[in-house]
Amino acid sequence: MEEKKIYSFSSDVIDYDSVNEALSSISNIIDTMHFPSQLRRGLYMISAECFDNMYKHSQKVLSDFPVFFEIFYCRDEIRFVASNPVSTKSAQKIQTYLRFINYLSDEELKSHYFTTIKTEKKTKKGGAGLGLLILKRKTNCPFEYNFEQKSKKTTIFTLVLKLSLKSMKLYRISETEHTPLIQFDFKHENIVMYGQSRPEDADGFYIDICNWIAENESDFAAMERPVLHVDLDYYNSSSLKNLVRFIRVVIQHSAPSLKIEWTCDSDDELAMDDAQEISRIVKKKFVLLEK
Amino acid sequence: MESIKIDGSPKTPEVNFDYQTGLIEIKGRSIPENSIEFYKPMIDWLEEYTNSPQDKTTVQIQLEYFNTSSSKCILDVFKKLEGISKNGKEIEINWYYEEDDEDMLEAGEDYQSIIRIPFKMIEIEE
Repeated sequence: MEEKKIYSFSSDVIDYDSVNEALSSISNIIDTMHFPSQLRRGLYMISAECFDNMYKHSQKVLSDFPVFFEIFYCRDEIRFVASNPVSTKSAQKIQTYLRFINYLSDEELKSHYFTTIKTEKKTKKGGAGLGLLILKRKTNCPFEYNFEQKSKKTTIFTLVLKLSLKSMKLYRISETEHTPLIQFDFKHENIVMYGQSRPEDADGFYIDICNWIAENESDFAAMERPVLHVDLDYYNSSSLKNLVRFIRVVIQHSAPSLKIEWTCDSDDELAMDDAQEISRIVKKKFVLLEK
Repeated sequence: MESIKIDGSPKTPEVNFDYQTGLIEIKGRSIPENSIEFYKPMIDWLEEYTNSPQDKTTVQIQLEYFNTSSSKCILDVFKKLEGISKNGKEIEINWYYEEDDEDMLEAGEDYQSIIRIPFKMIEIEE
């Protein structure tokens, strides 16, 4: 799947107001993506921390180079790119520190964090060292970074942070104009389906998903109280029989405690009928939720 | 001693430090522009409170999110409380976190391992 840029910020100057504005639009974007709440908080936290660093650096270094921050998303990874000018003198220090952090194991990182928070002197600019440690603890991949010296005084520092959704046991099939978002969150034991379903090739689309479920049956079996939540605005008739196929496969691979929640408009009688019909075919009671 | 009462904002937490009841509350988000400046009145208040604390001080921390520079200031708050506890007064620390917010629970556990006062971890149902 292609990588998608979900957020981009670029500016010559960065002040507290622009940081606030950026964070609130990031927060809105994250909300529309239907991520689990823990991941939503994580994304916000990483963004806020990056902006905090960029803001502090920009107060120290006067340069003609812009500050930028971007968030990319692809199926199993979210990537953050933060870039800002730093003084060439401090670039060397940052690089050594990043290399050191990457080298630490999770346990070592934790104990180094404790030592740092206890001993590091507070300055008005805040401890960048501590910020990097927190970012490293929140992300689950090594830091990638680049330093490009522009002049004797100024170097551009670019930091790339990655969040692996795979290691969070989160799998997503992104929403498209014709197909719904399907998200399997094995850690929080829920599967959600949002959006529309009118794929060109409904059989092909759903067979792929059913095969994927079968390949990952151990993850399904490991869920103790799974919930499948279906909230479709629209589905065409060829999707209907495929929804039955999909739900059957989910039931087949999940614990009997599986709860199926079906959301539809209370005044949409057709949709209510469909839900009851599917429930009858798959022999499983649905919890009907009103929109 | 006067109390501290600060309303919450999208970037700063609601703060209640009440001398009479010995209740210390910090609730909400903490990403102030200048953490040190924001937390300074609280640290100063605790400094004074240390001289004549109540027999029991109840601390309620219910944070949704805090940034790195706040984390050091919050540690300073706990350090002051640790001092009071060392003088034989009772300090009860309640650390609230939302049901699935493992990060916030972990943050509380991190503080607990630095401070020599037991924390009560309280899960809030969403």
